Amino acid sequence: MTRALLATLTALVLLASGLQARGDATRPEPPTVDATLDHELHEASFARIRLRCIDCHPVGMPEVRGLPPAWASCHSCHRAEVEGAPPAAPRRCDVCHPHRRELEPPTHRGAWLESHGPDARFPASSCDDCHDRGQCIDCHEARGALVRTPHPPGFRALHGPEARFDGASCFGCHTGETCLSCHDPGRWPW
Amino acid sequence: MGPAPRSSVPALLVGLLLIAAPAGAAAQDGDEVVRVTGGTAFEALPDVGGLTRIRLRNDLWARFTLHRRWSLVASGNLRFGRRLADDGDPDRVRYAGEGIDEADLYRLALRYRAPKLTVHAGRFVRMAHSGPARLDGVAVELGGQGLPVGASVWAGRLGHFEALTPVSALAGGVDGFFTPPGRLGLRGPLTIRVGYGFHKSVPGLRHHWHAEALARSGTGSSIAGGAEVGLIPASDAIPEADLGLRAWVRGTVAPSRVVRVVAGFRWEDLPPSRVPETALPLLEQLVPRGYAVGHVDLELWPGALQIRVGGGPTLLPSSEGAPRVGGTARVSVDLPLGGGRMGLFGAGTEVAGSGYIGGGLGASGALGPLYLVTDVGAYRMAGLDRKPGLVVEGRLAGELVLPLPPRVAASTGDLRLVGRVAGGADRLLAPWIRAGLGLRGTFTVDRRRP
Repeated sequence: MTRALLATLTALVLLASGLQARGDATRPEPPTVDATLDHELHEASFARIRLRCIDCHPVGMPEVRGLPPAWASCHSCHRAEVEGAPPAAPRRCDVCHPHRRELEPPTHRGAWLESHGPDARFPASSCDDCHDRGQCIDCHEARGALVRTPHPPGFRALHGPEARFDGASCFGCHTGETCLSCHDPGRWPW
Repeated sequence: MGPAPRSSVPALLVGLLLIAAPAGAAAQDGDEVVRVTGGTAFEALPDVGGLTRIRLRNDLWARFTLHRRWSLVASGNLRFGRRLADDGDPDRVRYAGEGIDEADLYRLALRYRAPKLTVHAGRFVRMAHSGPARLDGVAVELGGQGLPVGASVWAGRLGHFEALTPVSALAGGVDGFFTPPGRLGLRGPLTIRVGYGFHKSVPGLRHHWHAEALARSGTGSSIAGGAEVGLIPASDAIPEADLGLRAWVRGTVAPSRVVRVVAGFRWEDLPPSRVPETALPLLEQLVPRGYAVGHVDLELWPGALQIRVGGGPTLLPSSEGAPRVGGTARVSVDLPLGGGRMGLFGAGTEVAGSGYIGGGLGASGALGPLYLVTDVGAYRMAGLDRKPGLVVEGRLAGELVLPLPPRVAASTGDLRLVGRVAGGADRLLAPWIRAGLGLRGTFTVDRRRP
């Protein structure tokens, strides 16, 4: 049984790896930042704040090939709340990244919504690049009108075995009294 | 929920809206001045035998930028309900944590945000180590925004956004993190986090220490692990000290753009999340201590298909006999269909003789301004009595984007008619249904440069 399961999983991984080229080939290239860059406009701005070419283009640094500026150079003016940034620099992501998919990191595919918790607990993780920390709470405290539930289909009737399987995971959102609010003797069976 | 916010929440929120416009004038050009998200929904819930009820749910979330670095965030819910049938017990008014008539004030907090310093003061929800915690107090965060070193300190009166039981505890903690720099002085792949927290209530004190590390590649692979220690020391009210450990490790491997494997393992033996002021809450009595749980999830995206296969075991060692063993598994396959997706899913869980197995199909997609999502499933389930029964459930939810005047729509206005209906039969073949219809909108006021 175990051997058959391992063989099946291996076959699926190999199949997926073999299909990588096909997947990459059919995926359209998102628009690049370069396509949205108005260098003439930037030259005028840079002249006003006395920024030199070499301040952005890392010429001569052995680790970096070519002339394109490191992303950190752009973000030193265009990220929100950068101290001392030129006041004319728009600080919105969509100014340079018109296609949101371009910004989406590879972690965010598939079941990321269900499994992002452990990564998001690290304050210096790259979540901060796009997300305000307050956004965690916007979903995690939401009990508003017709908000979506994080539980899978059937959970309302099936949560008993789930809770016995891994009860500690309930405490991330629920208090100890949650069960009793419905499972009151005489109202709803266990 | 105390009596004060029960009656004052709507007036308070409306008042904040009214004062926001002049306050927003101080915001920097290009900033968002006001963002308001809210909704109201009417629900009918004739699902619990003898306790049929209707309910009007309202929620509002609002952020006002008072100055370049100052903002005020407020959010709350207001629910009104009526029971259409009476079982003669006036005390039974809560369902899954919500009362019949109830107001929740989740947040009313000022935030000061500078490049290396953020301060929250007031009522806010903090993502504490053990989950979200509602706090009436202060939190100070140093670092952030990609800096390699940071810390946070927080303290206040503890609450919970599921306000089932009044909590009269003080809580606080300190957290620190460090990310060693990587190549070219950019952010390195490893982050280490350590911290301490406490929970002080009348019966006693609970301490909590944790240390964690996360390392990740730029291609979606990562490995993380950590340990938490909880201690409730002995006191006059607590005859024996309670010391426990939670340890976990989780790895993600993404060998290509079309496959990802996530595997993890946890050991769960922490003391109760807070020192109970009366008896230990029921859920914490039912949840065993000292068990292990593991999982492996495989995700594949071959072409247009999406395939997910996952599951793992649970093991509760026992000194009195055989360990309690369980397992869970989920599988789903879906593919594009027209403007949406359609797929099949299956799931099963088994723990010591009780569990379920079943599956169904689901679909989602957009028809012009209408977005629909639906699923239907059937399961064979055995509860604690181990007697198998049939469980069926179907759900349908939709959102219809409503047209807005061009001037409003251009300023990030969004208004939707939302609806949801779900029904089925539980394992005793008791039918249930619940449905709701509501409006949900988001509106912002920006001040952008000409």
